[in-house]
Amino acid sequence: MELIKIGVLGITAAILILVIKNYRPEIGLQISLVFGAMVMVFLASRIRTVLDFIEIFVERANISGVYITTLFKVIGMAYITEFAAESCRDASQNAIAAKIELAGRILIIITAMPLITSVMNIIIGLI
Amino acid sequence: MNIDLIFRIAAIGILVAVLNSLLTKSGREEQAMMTTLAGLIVVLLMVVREIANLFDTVKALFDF
Repeated sequence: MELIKIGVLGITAAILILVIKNYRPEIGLQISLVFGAMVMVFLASRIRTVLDFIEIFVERANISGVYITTLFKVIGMAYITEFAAESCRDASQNAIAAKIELAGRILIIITAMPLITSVMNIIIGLI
Repeated sequence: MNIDLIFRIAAIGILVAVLNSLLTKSGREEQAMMTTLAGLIVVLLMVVREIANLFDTVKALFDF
């Protein structure tokens, strides 16, 4: 069972961090980083399954592939932004976390520009 | 999923903490500092590899 594995590993990591935090807080943070990375790498193949599932229905509904690719791209960027920002917040660096989130937002808007353009075109066409 | 990586990092942390307190007690402050720094760098190298792996995975997954 993968879920039990991840749950037990998470509890173990939390206990280890709790022990080490008093002596070496920076290594406690590294443990949580590694745990986060390991869980995501572990889940990658499962996420691929879900994305394939979505893609099948998108194809059947005749939605352009460009849109769904952009959507996936934005999801990936949002995940990386969130991972980095939460790690900084764990290290109680809220300012750096806020800057990472700002960068993520701007880059996501730039990535989503073609989608926004086509929505705007539709809206302008309706007026 | 290599669980032992977390244990390895935790072991390095405890080892560095013990060495740090030993060296501080015996009056070698600067060597204690160096030990801390070395431990941090070793752990950082391990973590960086894992983070790079994560970001590559996400990049490949959401193809961007």
